[in-house]
This record gives sequence, structure tokens and C-alpha cells, in this order.
Amino acid sequence: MPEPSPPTLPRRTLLTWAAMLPLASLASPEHSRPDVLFQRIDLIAEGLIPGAASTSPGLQLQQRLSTGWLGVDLNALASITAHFAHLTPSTPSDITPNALNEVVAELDRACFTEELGTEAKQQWATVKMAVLSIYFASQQGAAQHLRYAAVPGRWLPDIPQQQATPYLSNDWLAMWFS
Amino acid sequence: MKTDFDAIVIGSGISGGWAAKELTERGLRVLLLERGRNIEHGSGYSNEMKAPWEMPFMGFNNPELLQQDYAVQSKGMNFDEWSMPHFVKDSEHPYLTPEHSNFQWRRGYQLGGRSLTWGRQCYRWSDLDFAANKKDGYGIDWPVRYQDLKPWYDHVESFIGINGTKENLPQLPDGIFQPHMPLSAIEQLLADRIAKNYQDRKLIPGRSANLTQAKDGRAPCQYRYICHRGCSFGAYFSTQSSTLPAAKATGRLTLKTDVIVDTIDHDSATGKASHVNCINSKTGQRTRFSAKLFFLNASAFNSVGLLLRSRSEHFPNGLANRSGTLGKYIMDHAHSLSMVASVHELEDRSYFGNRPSNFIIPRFTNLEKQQHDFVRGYSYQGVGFRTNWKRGARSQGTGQALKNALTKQGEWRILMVAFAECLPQEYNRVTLANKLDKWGLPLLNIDMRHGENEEKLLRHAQTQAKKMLKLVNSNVLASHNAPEPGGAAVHEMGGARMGANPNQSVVNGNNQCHDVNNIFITDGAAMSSSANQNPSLTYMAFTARAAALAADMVKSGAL
Repeated sequence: MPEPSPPTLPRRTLLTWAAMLPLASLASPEHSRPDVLFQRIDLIAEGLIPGAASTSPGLQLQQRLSTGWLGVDLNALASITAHFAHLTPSTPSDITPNALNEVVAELDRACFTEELGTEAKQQWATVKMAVLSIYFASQQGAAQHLRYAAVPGRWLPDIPQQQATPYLSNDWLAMWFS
Repeated sequence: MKTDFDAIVIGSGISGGWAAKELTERGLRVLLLERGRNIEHGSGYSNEMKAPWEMPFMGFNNPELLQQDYAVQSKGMNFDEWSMPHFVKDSEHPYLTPEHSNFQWRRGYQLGGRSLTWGRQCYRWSDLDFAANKKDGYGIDWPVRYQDLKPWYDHVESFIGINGTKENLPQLPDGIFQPHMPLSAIEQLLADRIAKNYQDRKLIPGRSANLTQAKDGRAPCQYRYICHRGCSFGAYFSTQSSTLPAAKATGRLTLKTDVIVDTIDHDSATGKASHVNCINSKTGQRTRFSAKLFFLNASAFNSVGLLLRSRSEHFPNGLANRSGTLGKYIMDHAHSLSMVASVHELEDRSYFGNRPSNFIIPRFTNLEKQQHDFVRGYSYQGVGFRTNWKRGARSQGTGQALKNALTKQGEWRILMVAFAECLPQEYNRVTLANKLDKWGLPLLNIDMRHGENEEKLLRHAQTQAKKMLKLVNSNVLASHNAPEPGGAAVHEMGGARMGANPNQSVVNGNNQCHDVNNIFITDGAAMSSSANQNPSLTYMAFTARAAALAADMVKSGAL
């Protein structure tokens, strides 16, 4: 399958239209197909952090959504996945890894620059934080990508940064105050 | 007269554990009563060793549960998904507070109480603190001075193990320390710049009750900084790791958990307390125990509540309350996040491990003379650290580039929290409410708010923090000067204040009730002022001192 070209003006135009759409029109198909919605969260997660889909962020969020876990609600997920779908050149489930990376990068850019509106920016920040949280609290993210030392056993107050890379995922000060 | 026990200690937290230890070691048969459940050292710390991915909510908590059951507790430090079992459910243990107060009462009803979740910072008070009430007229004069407590600070520190540095600061006396936990690179940089630019202040390592050397069967700190989950290494001071084993070793301790003390009976013929009337918190069954001596260590406000409930013909306003001051002059440190800043120096330096402590900048205002438009002072406690992956969610970036970037730590940050002294005011008080809890006991109504002096202190602290952080290449990220609601510092104290005059205070200079001389109150309730230092070490010293006196009085037949 040929790779899609980088986002160009037509896609930006599409983004503008998407920003103008009432949220309900974006949200309703996603609300009515939660399986699709959470699968798309996995896709978005994979585009954000390669490997993150294996931590099943969609399922993790689905299981805890009713509690308001990580500040995520259905509206935010529906809105972000709808924007994602609008940006995707093919059916999202058929998207290639490269295309996925580009689409998620474009979604990220459009949200941070508020092309999709301030609400989408906030929703994206919440979803992005949730995906990162799930990944870096998983065994894969916390102990394989980063380092997890259940019992560090020592305090070294001043070391070269390269010795601290990858850093401890269980650096609790960083967890509480970053 | 024969009694069930020589002494009854009510409450098993930081001071209660000390009372049990000292009294049993001095030969008394002691009943230690704890209203909460038993937690065994080590095996009882159910979440201690769990990784985030082993937790039901991956360490990020269930917000629905927090809202429903932990609305107050969850806002405090050291509360997280792992340590949640060490905090009360607010839904099961309500209290009242007026809207203008919004007091945050953080509690842990279990064996060991809040000794399992405390912040472990330990600082001696000086005569600057013990003489403060007399000097400026707020509150009443303490009937003790530093020299009265010094040997007991020595005694406590020698037993529990505190790490720190000797600094020779008159306002913060040195103690008996294990080797300190060094400052991180960025903290040392700030310390050096402050030393170069200021004569009146110093940034030093915090003094915390975490062992840096093995002691009495307890292992040194493993630098996990998950103390609040419970530490099976016994590396920080808690009742379970330290005082309870000592008390048990005497063979003279009886421990009963799940027992709430409803009231204390007063025998008008002898003028002494005679019994405690108890309720089993699980079954509701009532029991009664007698003793020659009673130590109140239920935490400041619960000790006050117990006395307020224990009314009689002789004490219609609460036991030992002829002065009418019981419940009044409650305090909590006024604290505020003075400054968080990103620091753009030492970008090639880092650290390894989790140091369970912080730095401190001891009080530097109004030391030798009144210098400002506020009285007394404040100190800072703070930390320096590097940010983690969370920064990735706040800026643009995706894919492999983001993944690679988040493998490295982010910028340095320094955070400084000011702890300001809270003046003792009569209008800040605990009373009994008309509503009852599920055991039929009146709820506490806690009415406490910070005043103008506390606000001035925190404004000054904010200004000074800004100046100090300008000494490094930093950008301010957040800065506050409004005090957090009372209780948020988890240093609530007062309500049964110490004083020489029985008409103005509840306990005398030995923590002994003026009106009922076989009741000793040695938790935070007895405090007549707050200083700015964390108070637990001082509670322990007062407790050990009072227990020695009380044990002698029992043995000599004076009680």
C-alpha cells in the first residue's frame, strides 16, 4: 500500500471543518460504537508512543471510564477519536504504521495549536496524559523502557545524567510534582 | 486499691507508642488501647511491595472512590492508592467544620496511627519557641524551657534514629544524629548560592526519622520513599517498627485494638480518674478498665473530644476543664507552596534513588529582635528533582522522537513550601456537635482559621523564596502565599494547653492535668504554641518526660 503524503492544505481545511462541527455530530457514532472508540484509542496510543498499544490503553480506559479515572470522560475520547478518524486517509483499522505516525503527529499539532479549538486542546492533553500514564505505569513502560528499582538501596545525590538514563520510573518526587 | 492495669494509654500513634514503651520499661503494667484495626509490622503492609502495574488503578487511584470515601484524606500528602488503607474513610468518620474554616482533618485509625504515614521530619524547639508566648503576649507562657526538654530530646533521638547535620543554629538546636542524607546536586547549588549571598539564613539537609545506619534490629533506609505504605525494613520510625516492640519486650504490655474509648470516669471521692468506658468498634460491645494512671495520646482533637465527652457533676464542661480552656487555642501550621521553579543549570547532573527527606531553610526572621510587621517566623522545606515523562503530555511531540526524549529526565525543579507559625487564638476551637457518629458519640466540630499574622508570614515567605531562587537560573512556575486550610499541614495541636496557672490551662509543665492529677495528656493537645517546626519530636520528648515522672509517682504511691 502506498504511503500517504504528509498533511497538506486539504487536511488542514478538513481540520478547520472538524473544529466547526458540533461536538454531538462528532461524538455520536463514537458513542454508539464503544468497541471502535477504544480500538482507536489503542491506535492513537501506538502513534504517540510506539509499543504503547500493547499496554491496551483502550481496554484500561474502558474498564475504568465510569470512575473518571485519569480525568478522562467519554466525550473527550469520542471527540479525539472522531478528529483522529477525520484525519485518517483510510479506514483507521487499515492504517499503516507510517500513516498512523503522521496522523497522530498532525492531531497532536492541530490540538496544541488550537486549530481544533480550545476544548479539543484540553481533551487532547487529557487523553495524551492518560495514554502516557498507562504506558509508563505498565511493566513495559516502567520497567523495560525506563528503570524500575523496587529497592534502590542507595542515594546518589550527584551523578552524571547519562548514568541516570533511563531514569527510575519510581522516582516518586518526579511522579508527584512533575 | 487494685486496678486492672497500672496505666492505660489511649492511642497507639507516635506519642502513644512512646507512652507505652516508657511506662512498661519503668515497670508498669500497661493497657494500650487503639480504636482502629491491628496492623502487624511487615506482614500488615499490604501494598508495600506492589509495582504500579499490580495496583487496581495503576497507582493513579479511583477518583469515584476518593470522592465517595476519602474526600478529605485524599487531598493530603502521603495519600495514594498504595497507602489508602492507612487513612480513615471520611464517609465513616465524619466531623463538622464551619464554612469559613474548612478544616482538613487527616487521620489514620489503625495500630500505629499516623506514625505509619507521617512526614518524619524531626526538629527540636529552642527557647525562641518556648519563650515566644511570653514575649509577644499571644497565648500563655510555657512553664518549660529548652533545658527542661533537652535530655528528653536526647533520649528520644537516641532511640528512634534521626539523620541530620549539626549546624550550631540557636533557633534550631542540634540533636543526636545519624549520618545525614546529602542534598541533591541542584539543592547543593542553591545552598551554596544562599551561603554566598546571605548571612542570616542557611539551606541544610532535612532531619528525618529514617535510619542511615542499622539500629536495634532495624535496617537502614533503602531509599524507596514509600514510607507511608509501611516499611518492613523498619527503616523509619513508627510505633510498629520501634516503640511497640520495645514495649512488648517487657512482657508488661496488653494491646487491644478496635476499642474506642467513650469516656473516662472520675471518682469525686479521690479526685482521680478511675476507669475508661470503651466500645468495641466492630461489635459495639462495651467494656470498662480501671487503672491508676491514664495517658491521653489519641491525637490532639480526639484527646480533647474524649475529655469533653467525659462530663460529670464535678466537671459539667468536660473532664479536667475547670479552666474553661479545654478545646480552645487549637493550631496548625499555616503552610503554602511559596515557589516552584524550573532551574536551568547542572543539566548534565542527576541523582539515583529516592531520598525520603528534604532540605530545610530554618527560620531567619525575628530571631534576636522584632524586625517585621509580623511576629514569630517560618521555615521552608523543599526538594530539588528532575521531571519525568509527564512533561510529554504538556507539549507537542509524538512517536519515536517523543519516546526517545522521555527516556531522559526533564528539567530540574526546585519546590519550596513555607511552614509558618500559627498563633494560639481562643476563637480557634474544638467543640462537641449535636450530631452523633455510628457509635453514638458526638461528632467534633472543628472551627479553626488562620489570621492576619499567618498571612503576613506567608507573604514574606513568598517574597524571600523568589529572591533566593533568583540566585540560580530559574523560571517561576507557580507561587502562592495564601495559607492552605487549617489541618492541611497535619500538625493540628492545642485544645488542652500547657501552663502554670490552673485557671488558664489544662495541663501543667509535666503534661499532668491540673484538675485530675492521674491524667497526662502528651499528644499535640498539650501544645501552647506551634513554633514553625514539625512537632512530633517534641510530642515524643514530652511523652517520655511525663511517663518517667508518672511511673515514679505510681511506684511511690503518689498516684
